Parts: sequence; structure tokens; C-alpha cells
Amino acid sequence: MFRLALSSLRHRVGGFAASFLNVFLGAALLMAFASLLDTAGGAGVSHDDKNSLTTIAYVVGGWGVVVVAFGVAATLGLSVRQRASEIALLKSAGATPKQVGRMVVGEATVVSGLAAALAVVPAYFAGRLLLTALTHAHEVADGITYKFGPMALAFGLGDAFVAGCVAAAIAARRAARQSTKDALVSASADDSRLSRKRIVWGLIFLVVGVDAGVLSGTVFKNKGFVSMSLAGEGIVWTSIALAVFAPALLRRAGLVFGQPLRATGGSGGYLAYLNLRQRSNHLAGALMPAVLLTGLAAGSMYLQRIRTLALKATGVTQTADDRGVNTLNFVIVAMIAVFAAVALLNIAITTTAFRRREFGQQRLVGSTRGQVLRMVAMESLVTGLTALVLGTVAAVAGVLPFTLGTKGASIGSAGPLIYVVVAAAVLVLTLVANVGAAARATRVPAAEAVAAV
Amino acid sequence: MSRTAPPASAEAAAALRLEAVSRVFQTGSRTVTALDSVDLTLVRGTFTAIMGPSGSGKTTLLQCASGLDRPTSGRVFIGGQPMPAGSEAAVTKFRRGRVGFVFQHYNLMPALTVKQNVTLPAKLAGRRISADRRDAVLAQVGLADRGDHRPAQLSGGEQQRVAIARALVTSPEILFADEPTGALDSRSAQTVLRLLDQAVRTHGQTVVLVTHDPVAAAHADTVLFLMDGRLVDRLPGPTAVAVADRMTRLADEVDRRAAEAEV
Repeated sequence: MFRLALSSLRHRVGGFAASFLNVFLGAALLMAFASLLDTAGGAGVSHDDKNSLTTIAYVVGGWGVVVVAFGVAATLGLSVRQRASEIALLKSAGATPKQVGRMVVGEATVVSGLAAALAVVPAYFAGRLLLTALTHAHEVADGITYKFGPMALAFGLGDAFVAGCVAAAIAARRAARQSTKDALVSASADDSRLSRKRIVWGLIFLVVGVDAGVLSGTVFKNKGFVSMSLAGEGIVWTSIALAVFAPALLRRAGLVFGQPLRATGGSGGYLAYLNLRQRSNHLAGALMPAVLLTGLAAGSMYLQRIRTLALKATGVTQTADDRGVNTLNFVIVAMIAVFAAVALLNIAITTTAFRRREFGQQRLVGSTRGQVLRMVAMESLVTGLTALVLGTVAAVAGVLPFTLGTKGASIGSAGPLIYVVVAAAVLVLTLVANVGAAARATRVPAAEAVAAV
Repeated sequence: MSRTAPPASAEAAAALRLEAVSRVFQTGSRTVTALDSVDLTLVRGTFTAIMGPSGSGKTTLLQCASGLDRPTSGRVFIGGQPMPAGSEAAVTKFRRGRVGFVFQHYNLMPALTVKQNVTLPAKLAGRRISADRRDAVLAQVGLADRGDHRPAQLSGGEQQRVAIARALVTSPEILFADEPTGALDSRSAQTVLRLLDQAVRTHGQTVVLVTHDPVAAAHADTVLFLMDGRLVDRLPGPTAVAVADRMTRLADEVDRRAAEAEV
């Protein structure tokens, strides 16, 4: 089965590229931060510097681990689910569920292992840049020797790699358990009601998120970097909780946007409405990274802006160090935002490209390419707007308690510009990824798209 | 350009007319002529079956005639009007409403109910189908009580009947059926063929059926035989035995030519 896994990898390089890229970026991101732990363990590092380095590494690593784990799991899980029919075929040819599982996990191991290993090189340099930035911000003393060692590797492999393999194993187990008929049925008519297990996990994440947010404004208030990180943690977990509920929420959104969609959208709006209502499970995949991106990008930039304004309001003048910390913070947020954006693009493109056959069928019965693209545009507009609303809720879950706990701070004073920019970026990303993938998927003649199963 | 304008001549009254239609595929350095200057006229209200060995060009003929593929040369007329040479969108707009399809694998939209599937082509064309018309066609194919089901909840035979209802509801100039019984058991296949038969006899629908099954072909008024991209034979008033006999002879002919080519 492992050899089958390897040959299957060779034949569908394109299909695995998305997963590969996500693991690669995620592992690089985590290893860069975790290398600060290795650096802190070096000889001649003062006690204070050791503290600063480990705090930053754990704090950022805290969000990073969560964001990367979920991003990687979403991409790899999706890639397995999309092969339901291939797995059904293998089973009808006599493969046992166990063998199917071994094949899928085998593929995931090779892909994530390779990606994580290759990520070591960029992670080394990114980590060194981080240390330089920290030195410039006077967070740590000059002359600390950069080290990249076991901690970095443990984090990079331990998170991105393990998350990828576990997600593949879970998805494979579900796929292998399904009978062939069920696989075919569930591939076409899905049920977007949430399972009990899903609801429980969602609630747990929500509690963790709200709790972290509240802590940042109460027990840990006015602790600078720590309060901010805790608020950030609140945003991440709330985003994930909302993403867990995404299929059901998207169905509701379909209902809310249904009237305007059908009234103004012609046949595209009509079909977009039906797809949102009926197949929200399929469309909800890209929601998680979009919610994370909105929540994290908008949330953490507001956190920082509010803190800066609060310092100013209370008469504390900003030092060069403060500005350094600000820059550093911005870099960290940017790195995680890039990861979330890539996951968003990956999942949106994979999901839409997978609908090639469906688009073909639609064109056979008389849909023009333009009509297909308009339908996809309207679906992604609703998906994007839903992600914005959820991301905003998640951001508020972190920003609000932080603001209440910070003397002299108010959300209003930070202005709407950051939000507008983030919102526009998320909407544009979602639209471009989906419509672009749909344009590609409809480039071949309809009869060919339908024939190629 | 009104579709209801009276035809200029008896020739133009043909539901489908092909004039010297050729389709050449270029794969690398190899050139394959799938259709070789085919001329064909099908009168309205007729039921025609097209048969031929694998690789004889059946599918290409159907795709060129229906606007899914473009001939390399030659012209196609549907209801006396030429297939536009413009963009894919122009061809799509031309064929919807004029051409109905029934495919081997049904091709119903999974997210749509039976009713929604049936009215989708009209919706895409920006036209309205009355609920009465929709229900009448669903009753015609025996699915009056299945309107709110989704394709996944139906058997293969039922799905194919939905596809027939979808093709008939706009009263197209011509209906193309590509191996419509290929994935069905013999009883469901009989039902599907009877429905196509009925559409021709009682509603004056023009039907073209591509098949490799002599029993299915025997439902048609005329069977046309295709070999190496040319129409080589026609059999009016076919029986399954007669069709099977011709097909055997065609297959022998193909073998003989292949043997000659090797010598």
C-alpha cells in the first residue's frame, strides 16, 4: 500500500501541491519562532533575555500552532474527501478499509514530511531575521548568537507534520468506512446539519476563545505584550469555533441573502442560492481560513493601535523601543496572515476546481460560461461576507475585553480604516480565487469536462 | 431573427441538416478524421438511430450536430437556421431552447430538486416555464409524485426520465439522446425508449438516438450506420435482428480493412 501511495503521489502532483504549500509555510513559520527557544538556551544569554525570547516564542507559537494545525488539517482533509470516488473504487477492487487508510496516511506522511523538511532552510533565515528585529527593538541585548536546533525541529515537525497526518487519518477513516453507495450519494447530496460531536468541539473552542479574551481584559490586563497575545489567542479560538459551525451558519446566510440573490442575480443568483442552501458543506471549506484571516488581521492590528493610542492618551511618550515592538508585532501578524491567506486561496481554488464536472453538466443544459462564473461570483460573495461577519465577531471577542481592561482606550478612536482594508482584502481574495478557478475549470469544452471523471 | 418565422423551403423545414460536415482531430503528428464530409437531413417528427462500431464517429457526429463541438468544415442547420460560428456563448444561446439532450449518465444537477432540474434550461435561457407545463411533462414521464426529490434519491431509470422531461419541457426542435439506456437495466431501458417513442408519435418531437444496442435502435423509424466517419448504410423500419445483422457485417468490414492496412 505504501508503494501504491508513492505512485499515486507521482500521478497527481498537482493535487498535492496545495497541501504541500500549506505544510511548508506552516512549518517554516513555526520553526522560525521556535528557533528563538533554541537561541534562548544558548550559552551567555542573560536571564532577562532568556525570558523575553521564550515569552515571545511561546506567545506567538501559541497562536501559530493553532492556526497552522487547523490550516494544514483543513487542506489535507479536503484533499482526501475529494477522492471519495477513487477510494470507493479501490474498495470495490478489494482493498480493505485498513489498506485504504494506510495509503492515504502514507501519502500525507510523504507530502508533509517532505514539505516540513524543506521548510527548515527558509525557517533558519526567517528565525535569524526575527532575532535581528528583536535586537533592533531592544527586546533583547545585542550579540546573542542565533541557534537553530531541536526545539525548532520539534515544533515544525510536531505541529505541521503531525496535524497533516492526523487530519489525513481521520478523513481516511471516514472515507474508508463509507460504503460505495454512500460515498456516491454523499458526494452529491450532502447534509449540512452539524453532528453532535462537531457542536461539542465548537462550543469548547468558543469557551476557550471567550475565556482568553476575557482574561486579557481582567486578570492579565495592562500587561503589555502578554495581554495583547492573550487577546490574540481569544481571537484565534473564537475564529475556529465559528468555523466549526460554518456549514450551518452559511446555510442561514443563504437564507438571509436568498431574496436579494434571486431578485437581482438572474439564473446565476438562483443557482447560487440553491447551492448555498443545499451544498453549504462544500462551500464552507474556505470559510475557516477566511474567518481566521479577518479575525487575526483586523483584530491584532486594532489591538496594537488601541494600545498605542491608550499610551498616548495617558501621557506616556512612545520610545524607539515601543516603535520597535510595534514593527515586530506587525511582522508577526503579517506572517500569520500570509499563512491564512495562502490556506484560503488553496482551499477556495481546490474546492472550485473540483466542481469542473458540475460546471460541465450545467453548461451542457445551456449555461454559458459567463453564467457559471456569475453564479460562482455570487456564491463567493455570500461566503466572503459571511466570513467577514464571523471574523468580525471573533475580532471583537478579543479586542473588546482588551480595550475595556486598558486604561484610556476606546475602540472608536482607532478608526475604521484598518477594518475596511482587511475586509476588502478578504473579499477580493475569496472572489479572485473562486472565480479564477472556475474560469480555469470551464476552459475545456463542456462535453469533455463531463466525460473526464 | 424569429424562431417562429415560416421556413423558406421544404429543405429548411428539416429539423436537422448537415452539409459536408467534417471533423478532424490533430493529436501531435497524427491526424484523425472522425467525420468525413457527412451530409444528412432529418425531417421533423422522425425518430432516427445512429449506429456504428466503436471509433466510427457516432459521438463526434452528435456533438457537431448539437453544437457541443465545432465541425472543422461544413455547416449545421437546426430548424433551418445555421449554427452560429461565433463564441461558445453564442452557440450556447443558439442551442438552448432548440436542442434537448439526454445523456448516458443523466447529468442532473445534484443540488436541485426534480422540478428545479426540469426548469433549469429555460431558467438559463431567461424564459419561464409555467408550473402546469412542468407538471404535465413530469406526469408524461411518470414522475408526477417525485417533483420534490433530489437526483440522489432516485434510481438510475428515474433519473433518466427526469433528464427526458428536462429535454422535452422546452419543446426543442430536436432531441439528441446519447446512449440513454447504456447505464440502465433492461426494464428501465424499455421505459426510457418507450418515452422517447411516445414523444415522437404523440408530440411530433424529432429524436436522434445514438446507441450500440440493436434492440434500442429498433425503436427508430430509420437506422443510419456510420463507419470511419462516413454514413455507409441506412435501414428503414428496422427490427433488432436486422440491425444486429448489419452491425455484424460492419464489424467484419472493419476487421477486413484493418487486415488490409497491415499487409
